[in-house]
Amino acid sequence: MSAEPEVRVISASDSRPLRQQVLRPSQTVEDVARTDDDHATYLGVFVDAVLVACASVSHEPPPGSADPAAWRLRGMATSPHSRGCGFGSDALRAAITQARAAGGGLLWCNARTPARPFYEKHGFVASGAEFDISGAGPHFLMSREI
Amino acid sequence: MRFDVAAARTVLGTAPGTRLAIAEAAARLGTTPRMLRYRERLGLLPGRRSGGGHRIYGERELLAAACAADIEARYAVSPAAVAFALQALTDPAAAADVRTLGTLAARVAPTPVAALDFESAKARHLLRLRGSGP
Repeated sequence: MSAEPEVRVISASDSRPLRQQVLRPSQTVEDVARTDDDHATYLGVFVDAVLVACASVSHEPPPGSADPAAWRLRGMATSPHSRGCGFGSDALRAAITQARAAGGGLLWCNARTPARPFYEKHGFVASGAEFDISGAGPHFLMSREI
Repeated sequence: MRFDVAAARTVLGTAPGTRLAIAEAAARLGTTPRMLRYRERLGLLPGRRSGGGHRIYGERELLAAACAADIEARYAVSPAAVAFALQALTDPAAAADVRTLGTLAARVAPTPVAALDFESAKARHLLRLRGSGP
C-alpha cells in the first residue's frame, strides 16, 4: 500500500493545474497564473508524487483591518477524485502551521458558501453578510485564531 | 509474478461471507481508512454500503484493494496511475488516445486494421509501379 500523504512547500505554478480545474474551471491555466501571489507560501498534499490538494497563505489583513498578526488563506483545492479523504484538511492544517510558525495569530479567508461547513469544522467562524465574487459565486469572510 | 488471488484470500483471511468495517479492512490490508477511501474514489475498488450508509468490505473489496496495492508496488506507480490504466482499459476514447501515443512512440504496433490498410496501400502502389513500367 502506498504511503500516507505528504505535505510539501510547492511553487505557485505547481498548484496552477489543480487550482484551475477546481476553482476556475471556466478559465485557462494561463488565466490562473495571473492570480499567483508572489508573497504567498504554497503548500501541496501529495500521495505518491500526485498532487491531491493545495492551499496558500500570505501575510495580509482582512478587508477593513490592519491586524499585523493576520494571515490570509487562499487557493484551497482538492482534486475531484480525492474528495472525502481528508486531504483538504491536511492542506488546511499545514497552512495553519505555516502561518503560526511565521508569527501569525489569525487566519482568514473568503470561503465559498458551500465550503462553509468544512471551515467551521476546522474552527473558522463566519463574519458579516454573504457576498458575491464575480465568477466564483457566494462567499463568507471566515476566520479563526491560530 | 502476477497477483495471486488464492494466496491473497489466505493472507487476508477472507471468505465469501466476509463483511468488515473500514477500520478492520484497513488493518488487514496494512493501510489506513483514508487511503481505502481514496482508492474507492479513484474507482480501484467497488464502493459497497451497508443499509446505514457505512462502507462494507467484503471479499471482493478486500481483494481489489490488495490487488491495487500489489500493482502499485510492483510497477512503482501511484494509485492515480493505476486508475488511469483502468480507464484506458474501459473507456474507448482513452484507449484510442493511449494507442495513438503508443504508435507514435513506437512502443506498440499499429492496430491490425491500420496495418492492413498500410499493406493494401503498399500493394496498390506496387501494382501502379508495375503498371507504369516498361
